[in-house]
Amino acid sequence: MTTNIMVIDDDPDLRETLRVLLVENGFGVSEAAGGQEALDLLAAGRRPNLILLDLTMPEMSGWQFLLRIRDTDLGTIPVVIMTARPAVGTLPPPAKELLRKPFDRATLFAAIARCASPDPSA
Amino acid sequence: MQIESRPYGADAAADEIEALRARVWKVEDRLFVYDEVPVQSLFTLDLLFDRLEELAAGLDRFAYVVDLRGVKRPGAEVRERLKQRVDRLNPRLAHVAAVVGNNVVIRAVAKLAAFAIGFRSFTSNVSVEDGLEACRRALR
Amino acid sequence: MRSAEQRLVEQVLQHIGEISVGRCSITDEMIAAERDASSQEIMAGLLMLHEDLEYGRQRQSALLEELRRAVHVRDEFLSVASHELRTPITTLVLQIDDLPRLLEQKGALDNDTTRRMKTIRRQVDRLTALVTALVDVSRITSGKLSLSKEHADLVEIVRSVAERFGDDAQRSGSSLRFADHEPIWGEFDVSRVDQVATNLLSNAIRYGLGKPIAVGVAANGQRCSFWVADQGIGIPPEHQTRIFQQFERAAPSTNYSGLGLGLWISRQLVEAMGGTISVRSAVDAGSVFTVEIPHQT
Repeated sequence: MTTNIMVIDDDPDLRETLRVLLVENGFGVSEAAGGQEALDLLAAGRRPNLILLDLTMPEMSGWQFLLRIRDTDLGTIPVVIMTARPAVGTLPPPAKELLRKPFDRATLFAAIARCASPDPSA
Repeated sequence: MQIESRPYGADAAADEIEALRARVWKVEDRLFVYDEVPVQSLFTLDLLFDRLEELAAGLDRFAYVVDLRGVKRPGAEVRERLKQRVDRLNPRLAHVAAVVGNNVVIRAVAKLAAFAIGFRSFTSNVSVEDGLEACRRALR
Repeated sequence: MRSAEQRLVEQVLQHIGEISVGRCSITDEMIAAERDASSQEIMAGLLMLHEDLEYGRQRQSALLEELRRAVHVRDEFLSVASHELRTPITTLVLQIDDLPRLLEQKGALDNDTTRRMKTIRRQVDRLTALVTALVDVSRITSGKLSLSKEHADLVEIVRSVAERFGDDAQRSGSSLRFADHEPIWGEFDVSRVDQVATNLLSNAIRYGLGKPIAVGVAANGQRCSFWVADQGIGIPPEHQTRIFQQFERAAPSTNYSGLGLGLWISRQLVEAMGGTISVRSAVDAGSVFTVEIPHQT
């Protein structure tokens, strides 16, 4: 059963790098360049096993995106956030873990293994 | 034209600036009079001292009488600029005569500046004539 | 009955006393009301002294404010700049890590390409370390440093740093020995302890002249410690305090590169943990850096 990951990041190079890396390693990948695009994809029925979310994005930041999905049925999808800042305090749900940039592939895959939900929510 | 009892700034009109500069003039060889304005400002100090330096250009020794009668007690910022401007002239100054009339407070201002700068030769005088005499004696 | 002179002396001394602590009760009206010309003159002089002092104080605090603002702007900029750098570095790291697989697919993976990629990866790690140092400096100086503790084994933390430096040590010619020890459990900020050990070990390799390096851990009751010892260029006694200061380096920058931040950051981190960092060293005989921290940092 393929694990599907949604990558939300405004940086096209990083988004592409993550996509290729994940696909080559057997994951299914959907991409969004920003929070709104991601919300549209999710509204259209996409249900990834995990969301990889960049925090610093124009128009809608990662935090704002989290706030939008938190109290909906989308709030059950686990989220791993990517950021340049170090971890501080507990993460607000549905964020499960924080990946501090720069991170390597081993760290990325370990986080995915820990956080991805086994079955996509209905 | 009459210079009024207010601080003049860089926005002064051309004829005001001319009138201000005209308050510094040469009496005779090496001897000048500086008729201070009622309300000093950084602008007027620079203007008048620039004029004095123009007139004294090239002289290795000179003296001047500064008429302080009618001057309002200046604040710290103005006094600091005054000390800076006079200090620049000090190496060439044979004598400075401050005309203070009977204004005791202004006499104190002049003396404080004189002590701060360390004038070679300084008097506080009651009249311009007395001041000029003191300068001539020092220039001999 | 006091004479006018005595009264004047009292008055003047009173005013001088007040002016010396930044107060002055003399006013222009008071001066004008004085009947004696000498008193007037001297009061005017005192009032102007006070004004000059006030003016000087104002200018100093304006300068101080300007300086504070400039430092804040600089720290903010450092923080923003170093964050900005992290995203391109992330892309670099992930791309480089994926290259071996790609090259293998194309049948181009051999010793040359492997060595080349290791070099590239090392440089990227160096970039990351520099960027992290910049961020840490700005966070530390703006007081935003925070520690996150977890239950961990100090021996394991230090051993993994030593293992990570195996290749680097070998390339510089130094043998690297980790003196094993039974676990020392405590509440530590793992990544910060790692950071300090990394800093000390990379210094040991850099200044170690290819001579043997030893790393060890010890437990002394409430406190535990780890140390890194090299036999390299050593540090002259007069520099041994300076090296822990910001931007200070004892090694000439013509010979050794680096920002001069590592030991300062290490000291800030160790002290934030409630610990101490110290050095024993002699020129050409090498150095031993010791970090002592409580079990609960």
